[in-house]
Amino acid sequence: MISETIVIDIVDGQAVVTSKGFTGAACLKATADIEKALGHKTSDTPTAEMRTTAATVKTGAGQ
Amino acid sequence: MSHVGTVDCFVTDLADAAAGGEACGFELRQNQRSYTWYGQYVGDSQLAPGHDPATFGTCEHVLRLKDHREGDYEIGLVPRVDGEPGWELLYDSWGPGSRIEARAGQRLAKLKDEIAAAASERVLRRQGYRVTRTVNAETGAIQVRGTR
Repeated sequence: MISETIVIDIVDGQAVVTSKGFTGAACLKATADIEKALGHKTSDTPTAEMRTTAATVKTGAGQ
Repeated sequence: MSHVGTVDCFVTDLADAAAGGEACGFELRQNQRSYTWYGQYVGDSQLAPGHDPATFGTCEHVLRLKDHREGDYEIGLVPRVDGEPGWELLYDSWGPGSRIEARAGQRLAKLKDEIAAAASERVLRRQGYRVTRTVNAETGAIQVRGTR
């Protein structure tokens, strides 16, 4: 079983929140509370892993 | 799936301010409505965006050095100017403010990082994650990791 991991890198009053190992869009939900607790979200970028998975889902839906 | 989000850190829970302050040698004084500073804005420093000098010195809570002595300045927790819930940290870096920066870092960087780390750990534990924290000895950067 793949574990779910959330990593928060903090320096100079700014945090980068990275999620790994989640199924579907669960990563967004899992990190939302952390981002809310930290303050003001300035950007949100899917990683290559997320883009690949999203593309696969989209292709499957069209079949 | 995975994603990366970038967040500008504020104080959103007083427990985080207390924990981050403790790590840097400050105590949280809840409901103290004023913080000590020079007392008059003389235009010799850049204003924090959105803040009115007429309100300097007023706040909702205070972080004070645990070894506070007469003449020390304090850090005020003031409502966020963007209207979101939570507080910003304001202080005067002039003169006695150097004692604040000696503990909290320039522009309170170390204190803000400790508060953010406390917030991260609090939420991760609430969500059932195993939490570890590491600090880069060279840069001071903090990494909080949650796994489940």
